[in-house]
Amino acid sequence: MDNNDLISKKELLEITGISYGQLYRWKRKNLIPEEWFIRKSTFTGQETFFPKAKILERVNKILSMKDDLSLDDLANMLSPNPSEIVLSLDEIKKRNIVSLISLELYIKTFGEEKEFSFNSILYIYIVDEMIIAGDINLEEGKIILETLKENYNKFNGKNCDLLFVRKFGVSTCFLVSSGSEVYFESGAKIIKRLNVAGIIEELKIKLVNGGEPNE
Amino acid sequence: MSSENLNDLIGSGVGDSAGGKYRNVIISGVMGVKGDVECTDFKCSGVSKVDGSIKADSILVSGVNNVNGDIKCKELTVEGSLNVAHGVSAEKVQIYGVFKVNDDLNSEIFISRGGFTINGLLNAENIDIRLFVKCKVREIGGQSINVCRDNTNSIKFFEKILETFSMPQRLIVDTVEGDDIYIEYTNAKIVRGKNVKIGPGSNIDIVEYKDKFEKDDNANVKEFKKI
Repeated sequence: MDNNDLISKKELLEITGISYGQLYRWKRKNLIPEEWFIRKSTFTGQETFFPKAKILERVNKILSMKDDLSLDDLANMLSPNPSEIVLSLDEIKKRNIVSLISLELYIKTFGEEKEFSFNSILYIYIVDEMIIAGDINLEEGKIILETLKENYNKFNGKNCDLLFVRKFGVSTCFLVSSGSEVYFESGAKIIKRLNVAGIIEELKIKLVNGGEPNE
Repeated sequence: MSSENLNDLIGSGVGDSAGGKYRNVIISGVMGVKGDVECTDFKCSGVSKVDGSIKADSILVSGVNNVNGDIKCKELTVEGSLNVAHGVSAEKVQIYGVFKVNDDLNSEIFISRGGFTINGLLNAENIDIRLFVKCKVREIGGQSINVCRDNTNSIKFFEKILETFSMPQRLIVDTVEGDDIYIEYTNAKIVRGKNVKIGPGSNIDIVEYKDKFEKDDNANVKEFKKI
């Protein structure tokens, strides 16, 4: 990461207009992840920096939502740990959280489940996004579902990325912990790199707001 | 936490105990607890060493307690001596004794009438520190921060003695950041805030303020600027 991507704490407060009190309160409530606080030594001593794009997006999100939700609700929504949401098949269909194609793919792969845990919905949601974007076909969706189901829990709520790679028509996918760098031989092509925590946030907002009803 | 079917752990003799879930933990003897403890009330008036983390509603240490992990609680009161190997997260922390934390301390309210050493960030909404002995913390962040020397006569008597034992009534800190800040008898490298007031006896390298800045005549501020 080079310096252009970082923003100092001072600049952040200036741009967003928030105060130190607010920033520390949000940190305390885990609205801003610990790993975004990057300490560096400058000529004035230690300074704290943040990844610019991420922190600005997060602060704007908090500022826009803090009137409607309490800080604890917000924290729950923004934390990468899965919430305790359980939905039935009908509810998922009705609330149009994922497309029917991906839902059927999940049921075909793992059999029908009475209730879908947050994680299961997350897996379907990830595959759904990729299918809709045209990055993968159904067969590949199945591989991703299986990979996620088998391995995602091993990250224990830690932030991770899903990588989908293709070479000469042969495709594979894997999970790596977030921020780590991976390099491939030149023939391989990274079709998609998804940050699971980002997806979780999206999904949580969708679940909380209800999603658009299915026509 | 439901307290049904949970037993009390009472250590009034000398011994070791296993960790786990309890209703109340009361230690008045000498006790080692091997493992994480989860309980409603944790009281230690004896000597104890917890080889793990404590999760409780309220923790009161009036004896000597070493914790080899984290502390998570609503209310933490230290009247004796408490040593925490990792971080502390609480809603209210009160110190009347000696307190040492090796990592960050997060709390809504932080009140100190004793001495403390925090090797990480002290992050609290309201910070109220009266200096009796030397207090040390790497960083302070919060909404309102108030540091002053206790002026009751009883302590004046000890002042000279404390200073000869190189334990002056001072706060030593790297950075202080908050909205409303009043500090005195503090050594800090950087103080940043909205309204900053520096009281007597302070040695500050840089003050950066947004709205207001006041300085006592007996304070030493090398550089200050409005941002």
